[in-house]
Amino acid sequence: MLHSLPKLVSFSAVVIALIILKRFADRHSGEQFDERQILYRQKAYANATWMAIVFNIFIFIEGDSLAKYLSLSFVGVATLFLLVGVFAVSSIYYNAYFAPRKKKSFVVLYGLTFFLQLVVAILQWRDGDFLRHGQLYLTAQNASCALFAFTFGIILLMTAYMTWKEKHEVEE
Amino acid sequence: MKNLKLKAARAGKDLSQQALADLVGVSRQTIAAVEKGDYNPTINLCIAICKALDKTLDDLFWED
Repeated sequence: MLHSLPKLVSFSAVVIALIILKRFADRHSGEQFDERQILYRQKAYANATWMAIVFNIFIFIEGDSLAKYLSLSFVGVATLFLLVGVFAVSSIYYNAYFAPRKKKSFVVLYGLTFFLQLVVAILQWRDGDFLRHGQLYLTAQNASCALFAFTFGIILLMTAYMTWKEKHEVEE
Repeated sequence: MKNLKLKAARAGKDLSQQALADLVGVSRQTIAAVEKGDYNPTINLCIAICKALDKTLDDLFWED
C-alpha cells in the first residue's frame, strides 16, 4: 500500500494543478467571450466528455482484439487528446474558441506545435518506434507526438475551414 | 424562428451586424445567430440590443 503512495500523491498533484489551471483559464476566458460563446463552450465540454465515454466503451468491448496493437497507456493518452480535440473543434465550429484578440498568435503557435510534433512523429516512424516484434504497437511513449500532431492538425483544419466560411459568408 | 424585427431595426439605424455587435459587446456571429433565430439571447443582451437600437423589448422580441 505504502509503495504506491508517491504515485498517488503525484497523481493528486496533477489533478489539483489541472483544476487550478481550468479555473484560471475559465476566469480569464470569460472576459473575452460573450454569453453565446460561453454557452457553446460548455456544450463543447459536454461533447468532449461524451466522445471520451463512447471511445472508452468501444475500447472496453474490443479491448481483447485491440490489445495486440494498443497498450493501456495509449488508451489513456488517446482519451486525453480526444477530449482536447473534440472540445476545440466543437468550440471553433460555434466561433467560441479563439478569442478575437489572440486568434492570430494562437494559430501561429498551434501551427508551430503541429509542425514540430509532425516532424518528431515522422522521425519516430522512420526509426521503427511504432513497431514491436515487427508489428504495429502503440504506447503512450511512442504515440504521443503523432497524437499531438493529429489533434492539432484537425484543430488547424477546422480553423482554416471556419475562417474561409466566415470570409465567404455574406452578411444578411 | 427568424427575428425579422431586429434585422429591420438594425437596418433602420443603418448598422451592420458587426457595428451592432461592437455596440452591445458581443461577436458578430452572436448577432447573426439571434437574427436567424438560432440563439435565444439572455434578457441582459436583449436590453443591450434594445438600448443600442432605441427600441423597447416589445418592439424587438415580442411575437405578435
